[in-house]
Amino acid sequence: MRKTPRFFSSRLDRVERRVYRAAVVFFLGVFCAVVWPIYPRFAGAEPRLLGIPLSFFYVIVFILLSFVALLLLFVWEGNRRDPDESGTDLEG
Amino acid sequence: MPQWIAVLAVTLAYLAVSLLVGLVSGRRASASTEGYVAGDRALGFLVLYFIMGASIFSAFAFLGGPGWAYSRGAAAFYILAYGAVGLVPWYFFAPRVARLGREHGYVTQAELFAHRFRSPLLSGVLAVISLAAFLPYLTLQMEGAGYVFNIVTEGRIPVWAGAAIAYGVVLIYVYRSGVLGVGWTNTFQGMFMMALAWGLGIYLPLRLYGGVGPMFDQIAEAAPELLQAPGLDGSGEPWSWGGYSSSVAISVLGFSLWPHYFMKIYTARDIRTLKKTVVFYPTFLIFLVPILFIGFSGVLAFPGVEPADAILPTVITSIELPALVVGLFCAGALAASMSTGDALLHASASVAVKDFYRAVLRPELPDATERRLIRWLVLVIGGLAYYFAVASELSLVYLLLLSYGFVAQLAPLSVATFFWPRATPAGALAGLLAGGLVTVVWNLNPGLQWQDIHPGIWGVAANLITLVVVSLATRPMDEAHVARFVVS
Repeated sequence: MRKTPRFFSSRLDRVERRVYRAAVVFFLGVFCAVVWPIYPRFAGAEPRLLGIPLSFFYVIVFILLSFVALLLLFVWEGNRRDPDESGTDLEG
Repeated sequence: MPQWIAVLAVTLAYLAVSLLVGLVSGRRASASTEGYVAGDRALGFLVLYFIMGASIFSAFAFLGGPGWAYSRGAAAFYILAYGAVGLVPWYFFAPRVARLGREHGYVTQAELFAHRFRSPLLSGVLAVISLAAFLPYLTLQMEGAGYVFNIVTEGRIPVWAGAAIAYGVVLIYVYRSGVLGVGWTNTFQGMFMMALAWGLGIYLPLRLYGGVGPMFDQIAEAAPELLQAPGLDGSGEPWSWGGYSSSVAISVLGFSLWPHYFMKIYTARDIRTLKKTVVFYPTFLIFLVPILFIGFSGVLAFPGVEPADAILPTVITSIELPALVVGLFCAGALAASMSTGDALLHASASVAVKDFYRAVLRPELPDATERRLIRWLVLVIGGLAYYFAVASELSLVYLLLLSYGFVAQLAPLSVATFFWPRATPAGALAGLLAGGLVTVVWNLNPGLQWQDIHPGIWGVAANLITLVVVSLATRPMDEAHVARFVVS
């Protein structure tokens, strides 16, 4: 048995692995964006966008980005495989 | 007719509908533990979406969210920040959990971990941690329901009676219908809350300031510190970035592992349903935006409200609104409290019986007895939480502060379960205990604080190190057994 951890199932092909890796990096990026040291650069009340302070608007933007990314991943998976098969995630 | 009677009538009508939905829905479940706890693993997207949505729309969000925006300003954005990625881990590990659940018949979180590590003791420890984290939350939801009744009837219904009425309804449908009662009432309650959140969130700034934009313009003028992230801390001083960021981090670590949500993974009909729930979860979060508008709307219009959590009911009852609207608000706030409280109640009873009583004390418990025990415990735990909510002088606030720190301790365990074959039972247990201990010690000693970092973060670090060191020092587990759980 492998003693070292494996994050992605060996059953994934190269394209799948690349897409999942990109997704994980993206979501880590979203997390980093809403905490120190990135968020402080966008933490002021000015300017106001759609009437909402930048500090508030910024967080909303990342919720929406997260949603869009998840939706794209979900649709991509659906087009790729039979919906009942779940081999495209971390399923081993 | 006095306004409060009309308001009460609307609220009671809402409770009656909730009860009806809760009772009718349970008739479709099989009379087994799997039916009662995991809905026969047949829940569809709509119900799962609203069950998870209710996780955000608790009494905390409905009363505490506006309270935070009102008194601490931008600090309230942290709820949105952790939600942005909070459920994302599910997308990657939940399919595996669901599959293992089907294969081995799990309905709770600890069943999976205890099986992976072949340790009933681990199950017992997890049950204790879960119950310690659940009880203060449940108590808080009950208090919230009591206050809502109290405020809208202008004090005529005391808090204890309000909590008893709302949670009497919850007890009946959870006892009767199990997870399906929780799911379908949450769906009804969730739609209700969404409509109400947007309605009030747009209407109140419009009525009080002439719009959302003008409202923030005026706040920026009069109280700019509220709009500058990370806002203010509990005492009104600017909050530190260390405190804000580590609060977001600890919430992200723990959010997807709260045992009562985790066990909903088993209820999903299939993998696509599960993933779709994760995908659409952020849309639920957007409904928190108008909730925060409501809190900000009170800043200049109603200064000095104490406690800050009362800002929403205060605004609602201070401006002239038709009884129907106030009644709907009241029902919405109850929905927020009940939709979280019911899941907590249902999970507490299931965890206490399955993960503690059955796993540690009575492995040969027959299914029918088990289901009966769980239902009884729903009543017992409901009664206990009610006692703490209205009768006890003992404050559970301290436990509440600890609960997120505790739940985050499940993160290293989960990672080890799925990704590290070398992790051993001794390592898992020692990690949990070390993490819990460090969290408590750091909480008790403000002198150990550094940069305001959340005590749970130190706990997770200690947990991780202990888990690795102890695992490497103990004998590896049987390979064939571990291979069933670990990604390979």
